Amino acid sequence: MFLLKILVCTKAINENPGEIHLDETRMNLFDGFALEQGLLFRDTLKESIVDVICVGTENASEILTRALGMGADQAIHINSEAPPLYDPFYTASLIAAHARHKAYDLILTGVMSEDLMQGQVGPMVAELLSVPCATSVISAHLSREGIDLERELEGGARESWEFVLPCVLTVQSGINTPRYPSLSCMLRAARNPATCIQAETLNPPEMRQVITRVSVPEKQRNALVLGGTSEEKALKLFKILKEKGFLRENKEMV
Amino acid sequence: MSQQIYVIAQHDGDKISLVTLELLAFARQVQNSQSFSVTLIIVGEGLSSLARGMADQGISVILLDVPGLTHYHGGVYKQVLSDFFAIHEPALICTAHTAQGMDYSPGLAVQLKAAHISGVQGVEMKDGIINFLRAMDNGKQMAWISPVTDRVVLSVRPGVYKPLLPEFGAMGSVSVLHMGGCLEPSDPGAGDGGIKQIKFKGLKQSQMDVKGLSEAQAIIAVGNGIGDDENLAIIHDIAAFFNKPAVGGSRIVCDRGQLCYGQQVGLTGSVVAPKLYMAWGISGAAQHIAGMEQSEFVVSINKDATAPMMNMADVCIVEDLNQFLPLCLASLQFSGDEGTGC
Repeated sequence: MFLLKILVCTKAINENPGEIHLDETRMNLFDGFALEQGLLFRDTLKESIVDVICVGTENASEILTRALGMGADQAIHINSEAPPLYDPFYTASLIAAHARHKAYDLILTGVMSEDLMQGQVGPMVAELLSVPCATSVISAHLSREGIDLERELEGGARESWEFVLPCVLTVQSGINTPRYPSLSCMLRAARNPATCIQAETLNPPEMRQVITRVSVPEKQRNALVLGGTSEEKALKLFKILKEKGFLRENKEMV
Repeated sequence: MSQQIYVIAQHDGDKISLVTLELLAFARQVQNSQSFSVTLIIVGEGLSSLARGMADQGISVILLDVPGLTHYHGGVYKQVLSDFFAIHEPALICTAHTAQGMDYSPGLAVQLKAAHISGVQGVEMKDGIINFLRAMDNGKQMAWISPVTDRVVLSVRPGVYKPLLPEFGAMGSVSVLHMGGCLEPSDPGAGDGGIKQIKFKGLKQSQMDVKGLSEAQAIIAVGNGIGDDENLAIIHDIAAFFNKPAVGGSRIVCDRGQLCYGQQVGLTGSVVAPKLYMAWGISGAAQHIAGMEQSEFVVSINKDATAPMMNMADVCIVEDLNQFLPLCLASLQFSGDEGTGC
């Protein structure tokens, strides 16, 4: 294995959902770990290529610039003015349509998005391309045959797997430390920005699910909201906790 | 249209996981509103005693017996289940929203041309349309989602439904279907999507000490809002004032190395139920809430009054931790001094 052709799928997250006047966009945290993992593989196999792709509105171009700044070779923006918010199959189909004839050895993405937390796009892309998929990957090393990896289960348990290429991995946070963009890469990104593809040209699928209603979560408990100055709040809080018997007796402390 | 709800069991080869009983409880709820029937599917090798045990609780069970499948394998699960559903038309397929369920469930939906709704925590019928509830915007909003397809695959969030109580004496049943050939070697490029070439190599149980969290009466937990290590040091000082305390946190704090993964509370960490859970600067993503919602008394301290954790709390305080933490420590120290007459 001399080089790998890698695709990293990213999502643009709105920093302040619900607050329209603040239109801050950033890369989904988990996708940052996926991109870093791709770049680490390229550090090992120097001739490798790391492409990064994002389906979304024009906000996507901001996070793709950051991805190029971190060192991605090429960025692809699939422009969809109104991506169906709740249909991961739509997003997965567009990514698969782009990737199908590009012969990627490895497709990486975050284990889920921070905002919707559906965790579906990665496994769906794998299925659409008929390649194996491992989710929640917390360790990955290139081997002679492919990739040795560990999946994280509940409570910190881990499964070890031997995977062959091509495959899709969804990456759990903590697998590495994502690098910061470098000045030289940012300058290169300015000269070589993301390629934009219109979603309609990729034959987007029919919707499979729709949102019928959005509501604010119900309060699970009757909360007491403490008011007053900061000092008063602190005193009230510890008075309550003391009355409930959560605090140690004073004499034990001194 | 099919009237069948299928629940896919999660198991470790020796026993059925608790979450499977939660899925059955969820399925029963849908069944009652739709007059559907519920069937449990167990996938694996040599699991007839597991299947019998579930049937004895009044459940109709189909055992998909796969020679050589002694451990979960995503590719094999997807293949045998889609083979099965090619013949047995499903209306609804329920999987667990766990590391295992979420590994095969979305791919299975693609194979079945079904909608896939993940992290489901509620269901309702409205004007003849079935809707499923899940969190969005990091738990700040809830969305009702309706499938447009005839078939639907759902992953149901653990901890939401009370496990189904066994109905001993009710009529259960077991049918066994032999699903051969999935793990026999094949030629590379045989068009099986490489599933036979991926190999399970072993399971490592957690090396972390989660005892501290599970045995604590008071969990002093920190989230993204905790800030620097100086604040974390104050948290440890504050924790020392409590009976049987432990310091825990959300995943991001562990990822930053401020706490170790053994201290992580949430779906991918520990699920805890202490007498007191103090959430300092924890916004309350669904992932985290699922790990602490059974706590007896919850305090949420956050500068964001709209943080979802505020909906989980018995006491809410809106404060910036940078200012509030030193005040809290001073207040505890002061009352300590006063109590000993210093």
